[in-house]
Amino acid sequence: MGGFDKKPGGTSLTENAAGAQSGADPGKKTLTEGLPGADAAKTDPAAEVTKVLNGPANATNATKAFELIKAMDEGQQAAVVTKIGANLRSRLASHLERSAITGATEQTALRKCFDATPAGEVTTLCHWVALRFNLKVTKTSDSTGVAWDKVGLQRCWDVLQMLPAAHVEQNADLKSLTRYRSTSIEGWASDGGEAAIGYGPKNHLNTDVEVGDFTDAKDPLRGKNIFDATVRHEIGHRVDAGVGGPNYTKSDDGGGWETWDGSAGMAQRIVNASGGKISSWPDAAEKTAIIATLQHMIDARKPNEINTRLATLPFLSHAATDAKQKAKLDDIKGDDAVAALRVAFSHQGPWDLPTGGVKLGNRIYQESYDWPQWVSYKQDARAKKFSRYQFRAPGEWFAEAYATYYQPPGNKGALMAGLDDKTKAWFDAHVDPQKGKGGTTPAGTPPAGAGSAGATGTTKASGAPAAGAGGGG
Amino acid sequence: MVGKRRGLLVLALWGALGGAACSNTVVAAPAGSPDASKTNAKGTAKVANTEQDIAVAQRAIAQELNVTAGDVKVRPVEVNVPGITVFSASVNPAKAGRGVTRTGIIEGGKLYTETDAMSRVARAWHYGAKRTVPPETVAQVFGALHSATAESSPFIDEDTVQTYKKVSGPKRAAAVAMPKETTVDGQPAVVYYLTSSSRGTPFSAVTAIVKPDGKVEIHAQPVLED
Repeated sequence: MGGFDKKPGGTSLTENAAGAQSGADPGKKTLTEGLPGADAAKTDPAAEVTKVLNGPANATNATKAFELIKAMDEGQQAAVVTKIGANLRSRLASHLERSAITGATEQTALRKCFDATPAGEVTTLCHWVALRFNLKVTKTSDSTGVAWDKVGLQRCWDVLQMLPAAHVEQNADLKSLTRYRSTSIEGWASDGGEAAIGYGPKNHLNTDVEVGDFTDAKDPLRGKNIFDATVRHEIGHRVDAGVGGPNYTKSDDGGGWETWDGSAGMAQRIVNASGGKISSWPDAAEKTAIIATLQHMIDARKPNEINTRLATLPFLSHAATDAKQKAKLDDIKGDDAVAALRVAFSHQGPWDLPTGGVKLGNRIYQESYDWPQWVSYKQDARAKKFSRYQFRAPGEWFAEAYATYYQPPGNKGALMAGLDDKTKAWFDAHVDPQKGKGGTTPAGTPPAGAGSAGATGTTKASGAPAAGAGGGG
Repeated sequence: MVGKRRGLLVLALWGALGGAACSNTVVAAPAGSPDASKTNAKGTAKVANTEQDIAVAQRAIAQELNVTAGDVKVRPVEVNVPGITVFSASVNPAKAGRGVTRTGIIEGGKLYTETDAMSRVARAWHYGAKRTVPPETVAQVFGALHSATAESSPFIDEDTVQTYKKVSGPKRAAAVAMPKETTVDGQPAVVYYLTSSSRGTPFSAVTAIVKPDGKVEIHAQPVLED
C-alpha cells in the first residue's frame, strides 16, 4: 500500500505530507518512511506507483498500484497516471483484475485512468473499459474489425455507465463490445453475446444526430446522438431475452408480433390475411398454382419478378391477347396480397414506409432479414413508434424501445410518456432493476433541460455514482 | 427484373445453376418459375465460371466473417455480365449477427465491391456513349452493388413503382420512378431509385455516371420526408 492512507473519497498525498509535518499523528509512520526513496515518494506521488509497477508484472502489483492511485485525490490521479508513462499504464491496465473494481471509488479512479491515457494507447484504453464493464473490448473478430479509438470508447463508457449494471457488467448475455469498420454509425449484436459497433473516420461521434434516416420528425429518437442510441440499441438486444422481451412483443401492447424463421408457407398466410380474390379463387387448381408461384417468388426473394412469374402460368400466359386471361391476371394483381409482396422484402426496407407497407387485415407482413425471417405485426402499433426502424422485427422493436427508455436527460422512459405509456410501465416493471426510479443523468448533475423530478442519477446495482457526461444528442 | 428485360445481354443464371450444381448455399430456381426452364446454357464455360465464382464468394465471405461456408448463402444477380458474377450474400444471423449481408462481384477469381465492382461491370459491358444495356439493367446491377454490406433494391418494375407511390410518403412518392438514361457533363449516366435494408441508406435517388475509362461515379441523394 505504500505510505498513503486510504479513505473513502480519496486522500491527497499532499494532505498526508502536511499532516505528518504538522505532527498530527507523530506516533505513526508510513511503511516507507525512512526507506530509500521515501522522501521522493512524498513529493512525487508517481514515484511509489512507478516503483510498484516496475516490480514483477502481476495482478498483485497492479492491484497495489491501483490502490495507491485510488487513494489520491482526483487531480493527483490524473497527474500520476499521466506521469508513469505508456509502458506502466499498459502494465497496470493489463494486469489489473476485474475483482479489484469493487465499487464507486474504484470506478471513479478507473475513469481517471482512462481519461489520463493518451488516445494513441488504444489497447490500454480498451483494458480500462473492459475492467469497468466486465467485457472483452476489442475489434470484431472478422476482417471488418478495426481498432477502437478514444472518442468511441469514451462515448461507450458514458453510455454504459448509465445503464443498469445488471444489463452490462452483470449481464451473462453480454460478453464483448467490439468495433468494425463502417462508413456510417451502426451496429449489430450476436447470440454469442457480442455487441458490435460500426463507424468510420468520417463520422462525428460527439455531434452526429439522427435527422431522418430512420425516424420521423416526432419520433423520440429524432435529434438524438446516433452513436449513443446505437450503443444502447445493441445492448438492448443482449438484454431482450433476459427480461421477457419476446413475450411482450407478442402482446398487442408490444406490437402483436408474429415471427417465422424461413419463408415456408408465407404465400398462403399472406393470401389468407388479404382475404382478396386469390383466397376465394373459384378454380382450386388455379388457386394452388397462383399461391405456389407467389411462394416461389418469396423463396427466391424476387418481388420484381411477380409479373413475369405469373405470366408463365398456363391460364395466364395469353393475357396480353385473351380478355378472360387478362381479367384473371388483373384480379390477381389487384389482390392486396400481391401488392403487399411487391414492397415487403428486407432489401426494400418496408419498415421505413409511413404505412409499413400494404395492410392485410390489421397487420403488416414483411421479411425482416434476408436469411430469411418473416414477421407480421399490428399496423396501428406504428402510431406509438419510437423510430421507423423499430418496426423491422420484434428484436428491433425492443432494442429501439430500450434505447428510448434510457435516453438522457430526465427520467427513465421520459420520452415514452404520453406516447406509449403501457410500454413505459412494462419497462419500469420488467426491464429496469430500479423499477423506473432514478434518472438518466449522473448523480449530482442537474438534468439539463429535463425540468422534471426524479432525474437524480442512474444508480448502479453496485451503488456507484455515475461519472462523466451523458451522451444525449 | 425479368419483366423489364430487354436486349440480348440479360440471361437467367438460375437454370444454369440447377441440378447437381446447386448446393444449400446457392438458391436454385424453383420448379415452375420462369427461369427454371432456361437450361440451355448448362455445361458451357460461363456456367462453370459462375459456379466457381459463387464458391469463391462464399469462401471469401466465410473467411472474412470467421464463419463456415455453410453459414453463407450466395445468390447470383440474374444479369449477364461477361466474365463477371454479380452476387448478394446473406449470413447466418446466429453466427454473425442480425442482418449481415455482403454484395459484390467475382471477376477473375477475385472479389470486388461497390464502385470498383460497378466500374468492372461497366467495362465488361463496354458501356458508354453507346448504351449497351437498358437502364433497368444498369440499375439492377449498380443498385445491387450500392453497398458492400447492405442489400439494396433498385426500382426496376413499374408495378412496384406504382405500389410504392401508394404506400410511401409524399416526397418519396413524387420522386420514385423507373430508371432512365441521362447525361451529366456530357457523360453517360443512369438515374434510378433504391431502397435498402440498411438504416444508413434510406430511399435515395442515385445517379451513376460512367466515365470514359469505364470508371463509375455514384451520387446518391437521400429523399427524406421531413
